[in-house]
Amino acid sequence: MPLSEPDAAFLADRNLTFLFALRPDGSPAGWPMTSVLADGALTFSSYAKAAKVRTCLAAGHATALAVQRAGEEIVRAVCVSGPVRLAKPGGPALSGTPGAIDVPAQVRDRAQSATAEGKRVVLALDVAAGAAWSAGQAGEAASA
Amino acid sequence: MPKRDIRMSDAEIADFLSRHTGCVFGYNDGGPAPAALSGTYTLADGVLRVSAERPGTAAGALRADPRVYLIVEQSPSYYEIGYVGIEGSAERIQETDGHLMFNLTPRAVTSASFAKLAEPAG
Repeated sequence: MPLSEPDAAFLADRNLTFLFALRPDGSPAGWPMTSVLADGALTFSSYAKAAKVRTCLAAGHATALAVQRAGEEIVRAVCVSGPVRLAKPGGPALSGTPGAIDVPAQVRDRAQSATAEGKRVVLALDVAAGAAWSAGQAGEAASA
Repeated sequence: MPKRDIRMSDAEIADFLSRHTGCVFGYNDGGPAPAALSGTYTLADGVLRVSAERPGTAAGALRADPRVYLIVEQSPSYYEIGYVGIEGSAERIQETDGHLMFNLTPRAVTSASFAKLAEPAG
């Protein structure tokens, strides 16, 4: 089932997103990231050598839990799983900037330089299968 | 330029965990990627008591494979970004009225504090 319109609209924003993948031994691993929906995939920017990139690509699949919080409470959440691959740099994930956070200019410049040098890459998680679950669409609190 | 070490000390991790209650966690439900849920936790004597609502089939999955990766994160501003990732096994798994609870004793801990990026190198 494709993403609902509200879930797609939420994922189109730059969100705090927890990315999870299975290691070769089947144990889960996770990382806080920033995501943005682009061309039917949830995209993440990171260094090619980072454990998150290597683990996700080795697993071939990943799960992303995108959230919006009010204090400690998660008030909106969308959880998607799907195949993950490297995407061509140039999409909106490139800046690597958390959505609600003002990233220092020198950090942003360094990330863009690293991308130009091929050190930073973009992971793309296919969201065609739709959301595994979502919460908080109509003011309903998510499970946090 | 050498990469800065932004890991938290054990004391900083304990302080960070004591200042938060929200978490997310992933577990292996037999699919090609982990399942993930959000929840809350309390910390006592080095053990997290994790709670999640509307867990679906999580209790059964955790009994089959108790390995969990739990993340506590904050990001009020760039230099306040911090997180602790805790790897462990779910124990004392209980599900009552759609409410999942389990204990998690950390086996391995990963952390990062962007505040350390603002400190002078040295």
